[in-house]
Amino acid sequence: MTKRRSWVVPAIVFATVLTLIIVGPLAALLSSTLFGSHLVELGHRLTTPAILTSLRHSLTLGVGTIIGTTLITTPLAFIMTRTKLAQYSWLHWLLLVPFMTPPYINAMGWIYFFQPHGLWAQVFPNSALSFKGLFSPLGIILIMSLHLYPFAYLLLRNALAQFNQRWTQAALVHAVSRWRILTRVTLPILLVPYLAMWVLVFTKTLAEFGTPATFGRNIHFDVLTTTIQRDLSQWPLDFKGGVLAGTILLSIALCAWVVQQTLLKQPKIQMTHNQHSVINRHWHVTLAAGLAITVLLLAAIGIPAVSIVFQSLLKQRSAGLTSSNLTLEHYLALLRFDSPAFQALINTFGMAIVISFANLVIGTLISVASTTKRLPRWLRKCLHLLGSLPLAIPNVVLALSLMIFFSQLFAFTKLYGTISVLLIADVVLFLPTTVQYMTTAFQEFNDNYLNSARIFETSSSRIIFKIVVPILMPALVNSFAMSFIATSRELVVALLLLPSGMTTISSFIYQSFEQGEASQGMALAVMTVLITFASLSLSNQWLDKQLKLSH
Amino acid sequence: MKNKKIVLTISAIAILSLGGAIYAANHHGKAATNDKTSTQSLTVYAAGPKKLSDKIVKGFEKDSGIKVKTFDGTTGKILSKLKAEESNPQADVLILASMAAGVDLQSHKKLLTYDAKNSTKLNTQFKDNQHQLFNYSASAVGITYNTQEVKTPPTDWSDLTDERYKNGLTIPDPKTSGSSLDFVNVYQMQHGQSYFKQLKQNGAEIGGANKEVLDAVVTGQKKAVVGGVDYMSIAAIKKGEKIGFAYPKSGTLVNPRPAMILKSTKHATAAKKFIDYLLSDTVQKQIKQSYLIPGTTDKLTNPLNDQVIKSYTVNWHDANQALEANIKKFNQVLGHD
Repeated sequence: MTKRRSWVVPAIVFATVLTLIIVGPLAALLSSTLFGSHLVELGHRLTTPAILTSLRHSLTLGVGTIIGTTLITTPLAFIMTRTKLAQYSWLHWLLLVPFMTPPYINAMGWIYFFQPHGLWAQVFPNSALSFKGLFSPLGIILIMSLHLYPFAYLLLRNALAQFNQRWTQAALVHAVSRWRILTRVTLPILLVPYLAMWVLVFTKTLAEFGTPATFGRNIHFDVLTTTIQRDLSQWPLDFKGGVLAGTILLSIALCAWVVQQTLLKQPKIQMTHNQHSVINRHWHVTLAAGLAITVLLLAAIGIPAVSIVFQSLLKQRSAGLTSSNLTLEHYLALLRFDSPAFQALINTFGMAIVISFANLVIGTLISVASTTKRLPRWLRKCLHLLGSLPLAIPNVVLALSLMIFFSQLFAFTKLYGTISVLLIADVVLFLPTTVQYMTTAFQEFNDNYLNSARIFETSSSRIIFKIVVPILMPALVNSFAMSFIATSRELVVALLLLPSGMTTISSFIYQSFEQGEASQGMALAVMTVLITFASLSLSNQWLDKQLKLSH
Repeated sequence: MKNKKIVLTISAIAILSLGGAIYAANHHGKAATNDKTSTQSLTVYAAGPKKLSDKIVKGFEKDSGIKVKTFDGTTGKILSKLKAEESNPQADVLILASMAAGVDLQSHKKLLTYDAKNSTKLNTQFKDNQHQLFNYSASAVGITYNTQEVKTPPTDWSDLTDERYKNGLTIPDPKTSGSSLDFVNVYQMQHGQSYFKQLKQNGAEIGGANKEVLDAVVTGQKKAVVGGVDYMSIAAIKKGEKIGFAYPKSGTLVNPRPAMILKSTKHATAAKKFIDYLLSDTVQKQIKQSYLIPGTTDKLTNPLNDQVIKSYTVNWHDANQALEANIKKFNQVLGHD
């Protein structure tokens, strides 16, 4: 009993600190909405056109993106499980690329490509195509769908790969009509993955700031996230409006999160089997699938990439596409150690490393605590909840709540205005991914290794470093890489919480879009994407090597 | 039992590094605040050309040995940062692009009075009798147009209501651009709103910040900017971009860019030195090189051809009073929400 208590006390302290940091700011936000102004005024504010419009736009964008990603992913998941293309794993990785480039960069790429006198018009001056229709809510839905489909694709591909085709075969043998197979067998099985995917896409779209802030502003499409940022950082200020919009956004996101959590609790349909999916080998199916994927990749990667690279090479932006107008000077400027862009690069990667480490440590602790049998059930649940809650909090809302928390309630700490608040925000934001990776790793951890190690090895440090850490290494590296990428491209938190005199990559690119040298910003964007890829593929290669060594 | 030891070790390491991280973060914060209490550091929030403010700050650091931390942003962003930090002020000196915003801070008694050495040298139009706003430079607004799209250059505001500019006009958003805020306000004080209604009928739209609307004209997305700032366009013209800039002949707003010391400052001596430096010949020359109008100039001239700019005479205290109503009207006429 005493042994058990010795675990419980530190765990409770840990949970309390986490609650203070994660739930505290949200409580501050809610209370400042509810008690900051009179109820009548609150009701009045709730019905102002600005709030209603951005709420409507947010929901439109969310639902539109759900439809968009579904339309993209459904055929894609089928192609990548049921045709000959499924055997190419490089294609699988290529399809995930759009998720790795920051969405605001993609959005800028689309603008520069399709605007009047944009890249398309310069390459095809005689083209009669008009892209007016693209500069509409449809365009922004398309951009969001093309950015978010990789998530949806991963979910759906796994579901399809595990789909036991014997069920449909059994139905066929019993002469069930195709329609009934679809409605009675296929759809019910796929419903849960689809629902999970929709909730995920909806939450991500709702929380998205970069695309509405760039492309959306171009077409005057304000959503909740941009309204919050505008209320907090543009003249005339409207703090209360921003706080209210933040509360609305948080409530919707929390609802979606609750739905998601209940979905996860659904008893899983046992789909494991040793049968491989039947591959359709008709050549015309393969051809059609290849064409579809090419079109998708061109739209999702090709257009933004070409457009951004092109912008980053321009000497004069009005002169357009001529060989004499191309220059590498913007890239050379990045290499100068005193250039602000280089500073931004250093700042960002330095911060990303600190944040990813802190994230890894806290995330691992939460995972250990929520899987170990030594803690009472309620405490484990509580910690697990804390670890997954930030998934529901949109970045801009977290930044806003931390702003209120540290500038009003905890002003005495003098932390507001320093980089600490930004660090806390980023660590909290990316905690759920780490917790998820590590929890899965711990659950899959085979206790036999430990038991046999304990028999043959007395030094526990050797057990940790020779057995536990190597086994957990893939999960550790993956979660580090994920939070590193996410931190280095995070935009809105940086815009709201960066201390004076500091820029990060994302704030630099955004400012160069808004105020400075667009070409310089685009050059930095290209560099960032390249660095991200290089570090990802390096860590992957290293992991592969480790795996081969261990076998 | 060993199992427990392992988990214990992992958590011990984890807690140690967590503590280390928190300590480092706190320590970092403390180091920063310690810096601030010494007289040898200054925090400046500056709106406006980043290159110029970087140059000024570097020169000042070299000259005085005082370390300067800067935050660059639009006028709106600076004001919001100020508001967020109300209970824990960070800034010592502000440089804004909007005179109305400066006067607003002045009327709320947020500013320190200082009889700056060189303030007598300032152009009479830029002097502040209360010695709180130091208009070390100024910028004018006008019409930026794409020379490939517009064959006959516009000469006055009224030219833009012509059919040729249909759906090709953009106005910098007063919510982000301080100079646009003042222009929209002062223009309505002088001439009422009918002009903006005509612009709306001609398909004019509110764009983003100054650079964004300029970029739209440079890339040919739009034909002309109504009320774009001069120095930005002129810098682009000097770079060879195919655009032109016109100072309207019926008159335009020459907007002083005020620097000011906040009353809450803990480094008044350093801040005063900074203001003196802003009004020094070195900086005034740098301002001219950035195509802004130096505060100590005797005539307001067009940097492209040295012709005198016809400027509105503005009572900034009246302008501050009229601001909110005029911006609201402007947004009703041209806004989207």
